[in-house]
Parts: sequence; C-alpha cells; structure tokens
Amino acid sequence: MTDPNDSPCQHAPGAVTCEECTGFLLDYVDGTLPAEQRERFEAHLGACPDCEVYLANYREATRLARASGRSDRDVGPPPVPRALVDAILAARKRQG
Amino acid sequence: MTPPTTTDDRHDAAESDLLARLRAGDDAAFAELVETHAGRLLALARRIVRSEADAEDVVQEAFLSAFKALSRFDGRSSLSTWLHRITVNAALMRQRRKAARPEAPIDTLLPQFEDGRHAAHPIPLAVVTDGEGERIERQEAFWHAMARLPQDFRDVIELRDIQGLDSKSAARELGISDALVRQRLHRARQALLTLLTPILGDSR
Repeated sequence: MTDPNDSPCQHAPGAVTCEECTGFLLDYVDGTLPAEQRERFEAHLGACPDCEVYLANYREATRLARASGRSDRDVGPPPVPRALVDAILAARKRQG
Repeated sequence: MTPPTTTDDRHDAAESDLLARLRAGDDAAFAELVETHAGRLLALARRIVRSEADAEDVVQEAFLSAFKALSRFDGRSSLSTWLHRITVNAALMRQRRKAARPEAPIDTLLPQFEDGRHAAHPIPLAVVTDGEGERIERQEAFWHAMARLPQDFRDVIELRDIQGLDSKSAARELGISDALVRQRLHRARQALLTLLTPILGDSR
C-alpha cells in the first residue's frame, strides 16, 4: 500500500481522480469516450504516472488475450488424430 | 428480385442444415461436426493445458458437452464460436482442478483506491521481446489468470478479446445486454491485470 502523500498523482480538487480515470478506460481504448471526458482523462493521464502505467497494462492484457487466440486462425487447423475423432463418436454412442 | 446469395448466406444455410441433421440424430452429421472442428479445438486446448493427453481429453469432453446441449443451442452465434467457448471452459476447468486453483471473487481482483488515488503503484508489465520461450511463458500466464476468473467474466474475455467479436455479438451469444458485456469486460480485464502482475510485472 502506498501512502497517499507519496502518490505521484497530485490531482487538483475537482479534477478527475485515478479511480474515475480507471472507470473510463474501456471507453477510452475503444475510442467511444465523449470528447469532453476524453480531454479530462488525458489531462489526468499526462500528470499521473500511476494511471499511465495502468493504461499501458490494460492494453497489454488485451493484446495478450488476442495473441492467445490468434495462432489457430492464422495457420489453419492442424490434422486431428483419427483415433480421437473415432473415440469422440464412439463416446457419443455410449452417451446415448 | 431475389437478392444475390453471399458466402455468409450459404454458410448460414449449410450450418442450419447441419444443425437440423444433428438434432435428428444423424450419425454422418456428428462425424462432419467433429471432423470439421476437432483440429482447431485441439490446437486451442493444447495451448491451455499443455499436455497432449489432457488436450485430447478436453476436446472429447467439450464435444460430449456440446452434443448434450445441442437442443439448447439457439443459433445466436455460429457453431464454431459456441464450440470454441465450450472448449475453453472445459480446458480451464481441467487446469483449475489440476492446479487446485479455485475461482477468485471478482471484487477481490479489482484495483483498490484510497482517496481516489491508486492504493498501490501499478507495476508495469514486462516489455515483450520476440523469444519463443517468452511467448509461451506469457501465454501460460494468461491462461492461468483466466482459470481464476469467475465464468461470467471469462466468457466476455473469451468472446470479445480472444475470438474478436464486437460487444453486440457477444451480448447476443451470452443472452445479456450490450452494456453488461462492457461492464463485465472492463472488470474482467482489470482482474486479469491483477493476476498477471505477480507473474509478468517488471519490478526492476
């Protein structure tokens, strides 16, 4: 835990807080945040290293998910062992 | 005038026909379904469970669950999207059983704030290089983190981020509102970050 006094984010009273900023992330990365909110968000981001790191991490988690689903779309399905296909179809018969 | 037939229309018609045959219990239709999708699903399962024997068991389990649930499949998504999701769930269940890692309640995985500020400084995730070993390590970390998420939250990551559906299509597939998909996706991504940070955090 950090001491709030030690936080690099010195948001001014009435300005967007880190908590509010985090709530805007999905709309921000999707490009659907209204212009006025986007400006406030970006102003906060420019002054807050914590939120800057958090945004980069948020994007990275999304990239990682995309990458984990990519290889089967890119290279096409590998051959399936015939024994596996037969086992599945035989198990279906047993399942009734 | 009859509108021109598109590839999508033809695909939809072929899928409806296959679905009707499956529901009628046609053996050839089951063979077609397995032969068409097993390769892709096996590749997917291998990435999550990493042992060949487990991956094959997962694919078999996934198909058997799908056969049982066929009467409930309502065609909101394609068979391929539906089977992908069943396989991910089967693989993660197996991984979770093996690793004895229970699901964590989502609220415990969200970032904490004090006085509107981050309660702990976020640690940057390590920068990616091109190494194959690192790629596998990151993928394993990702699937381990996925295994800890509650299913409702895994489902939105799976459909939006992994399969690349838009929020509307994901909402249709899950039978929930677009707004709820977005709310869950946001919470799920934050929870994933919390789980990934101890493994991939670059705490130099």
